[in-house]
Amino acid sequence: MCPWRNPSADVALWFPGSTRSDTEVRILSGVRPELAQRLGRQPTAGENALYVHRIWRGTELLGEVATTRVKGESGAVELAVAFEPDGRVHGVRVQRSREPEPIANVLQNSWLASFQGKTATDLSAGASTIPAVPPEARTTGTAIMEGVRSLCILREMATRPGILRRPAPEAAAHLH
Amino acid sequence: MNPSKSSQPSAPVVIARGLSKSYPRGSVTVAALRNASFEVGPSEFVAIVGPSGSGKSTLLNLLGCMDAPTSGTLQLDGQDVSQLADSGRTRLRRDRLGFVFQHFGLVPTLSVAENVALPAFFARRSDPKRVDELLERVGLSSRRHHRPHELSGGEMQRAAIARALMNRPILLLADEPTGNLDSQTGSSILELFRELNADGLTLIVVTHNPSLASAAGRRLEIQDGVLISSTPGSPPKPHGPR
Amino acid sequence: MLRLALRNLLRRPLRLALTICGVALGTAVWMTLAGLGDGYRAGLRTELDRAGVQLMLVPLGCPYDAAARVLKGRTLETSLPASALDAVRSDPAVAVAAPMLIAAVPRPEENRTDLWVGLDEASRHLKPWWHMTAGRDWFSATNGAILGSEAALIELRAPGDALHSPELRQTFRVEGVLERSGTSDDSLFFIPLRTAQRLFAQDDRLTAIAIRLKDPAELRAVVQRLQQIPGAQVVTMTEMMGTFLRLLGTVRTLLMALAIVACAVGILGVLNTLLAAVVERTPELCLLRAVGASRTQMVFLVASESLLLAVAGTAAGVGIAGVGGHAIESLVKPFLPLAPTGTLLQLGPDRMTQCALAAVLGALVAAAYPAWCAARLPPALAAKTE
Repeated sequence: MCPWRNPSADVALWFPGSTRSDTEVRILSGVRPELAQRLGRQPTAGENALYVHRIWRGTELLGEVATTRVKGESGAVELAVAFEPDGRVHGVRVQRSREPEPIANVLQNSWLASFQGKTATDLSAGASTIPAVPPEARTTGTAIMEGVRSLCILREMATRPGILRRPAPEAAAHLH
Repeated sequence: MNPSKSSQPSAPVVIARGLSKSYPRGSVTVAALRNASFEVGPSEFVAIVGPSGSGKSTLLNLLGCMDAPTSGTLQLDGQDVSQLADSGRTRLRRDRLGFVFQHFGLVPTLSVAENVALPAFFARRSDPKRVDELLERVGLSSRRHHRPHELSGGEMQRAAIARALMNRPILLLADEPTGNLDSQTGSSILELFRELNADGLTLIVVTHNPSLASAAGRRLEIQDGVLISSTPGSPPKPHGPR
Repeated sequence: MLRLALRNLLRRPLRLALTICGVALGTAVWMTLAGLGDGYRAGLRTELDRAGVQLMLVPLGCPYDAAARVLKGRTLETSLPASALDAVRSDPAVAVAAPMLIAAVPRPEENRTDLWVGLDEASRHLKPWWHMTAGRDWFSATNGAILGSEAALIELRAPGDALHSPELRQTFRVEGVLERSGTSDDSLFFIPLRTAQRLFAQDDRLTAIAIRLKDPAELRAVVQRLQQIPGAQVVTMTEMMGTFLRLLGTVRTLLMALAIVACAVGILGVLNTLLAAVVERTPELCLLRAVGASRTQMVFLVASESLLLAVAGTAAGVGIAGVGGHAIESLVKPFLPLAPTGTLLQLGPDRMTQCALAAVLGALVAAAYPAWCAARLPPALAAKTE
């Protein structure tokens, strides 16, 4: 499980005006075959459950945040991805990476902003919807795109009726 | 039911000579029983009567080997028990004597059958047939698995009598056996005692109950720790199955 | 007798449960603390054995702290000159002298610190237990890196992958990934010594030198010679083990005092329960005496009740120790010096047997006085009491 490194800053950036948050674990092990089909690969052990941090203003759900760790060119890249309540990507942040500076610069906010409003279907179309990156950043860029797409699919599956939900054992940080 | 392991058929079961018991109370010594001498023959039914505090229970305790006399001698079935150590008295109580108490004295966590079997258990014996036979005899076969609190007073006393007979005693000692029972139930217990005595069992009963006292063949009357009269007893009855 | 004892105990279920809880807690505390002590000793021995060294040369300062830090892959504020290595290697009794440089790179945004350990070829001889899950077991290039299992897992690295350190501005090539060992090696990044010295601007400096002797019997003479190296001091692993075990001994004494109190509470609980039961059941016990129970049988009856309490309490205590022992371990572990990685709690059959015997002994001790009271009850009271 990839931690959410800086929830306060992320929430302030993506969901200003939020009043509280909670964390749910959604169990996806029951839908593994379909998940494998949609991901185009076998889900990892970590993908049997999705930790969803829900952000609220009073009783209004502003959005959700999920995290993932992908294999970058020079080390692990940890992503925090914010979703609109309808499942579209609201924002993406690289929480940590070991990428050399030139590559890290390419994969900065301007490129990450291109994920905004995208769905799993949009991202399956790949490069056509996300701007291309220079060849030296391609491996990590592709990994990030695949990571966001996977999270979109996991989140979509996790909102289906019948999916088991329970509060996270390590109760989510209450931000306000 | 053969009552006795006694050596001589006509030899007394109890021979008390100058039996005394005193208890220290602070700096004073209280004589509870003084110089009691008497005999009880085989198959006799003896009632010990007297006012409260006269020394009846003290005498019964001595006869039951639950206490040792301060002076005098006591022979039970030909054996001098007055100088016996605790272990010897325990063995005697277990193997040769039976006790019936006013308050029944059943162990509440054990069933009727288990209560009846207790003396055999302490003698490291198991005799379920004997338990069945005794329960049958006292009319409690159908209550064998019941706990004491599920029985009536009369049934509890019957169970206690069955327990007292478990190890085939030579002498049955009863302390106010009808004291906690209504008169009708008391009569049924008295009847049971009569039957047991008729079968050859020697009985010594401490009682205030006139019916029970008059049913006895002989009465020992005690006052202030002194045996003041002993009405002649009925002749020993022939032994029969108990 | 046991059945009778059990039924007697079951008369007061709440008192029975509370007494069993008392015994269980005492047993659990005793077992856990003893199990932790066993595990600590075994773990420490394993870690020191795995270090494969008899001596360690460290900079002046607290030698045990320095050696412990080095063993745990932590940095030192001071360092040794490279000349110390030459001096050690020139000693005829030294079989292997493995220099190392340990450097920490904090990553505050991740709440962690990357620990880089520079090793030279000699270290291979001191780490025969190193096994790779994949890749090579030594560096083939100056930018090679070997990752501990946990480090590789977090960084999603496999042999052949690049590993960049933004802080050092250096990209390494992962050459091997270690199997999980349960030691501090699991979370370390190993790189060639020269590379480490260059990257951390520590040319010709070393954090420590691990030493293996040709003949351990020469230990004392070698220590005396190596103590002469300026700015350096020698720590033997035996001394370290002894020091840590002495430290542990102090901690253990305190913990054992706690355990003894817990056990005493358990024993007193049993004693109290039995004594109360004897007092409550005086008429009944007198009656048992009257109908033929010997004094010995009365003692057995009370002792049986005590043993039943002890058995139930011990069984529950073993369960509690199994379930809650790890929670106690996590509380105690931070206070242990050089706490080995992995779980410390060892609840082996020996310890359980010892505990069960102690419980039986405790039960007999607790039963002694109530049993004596029960055995001395006069049967004559049976007629007087209801």
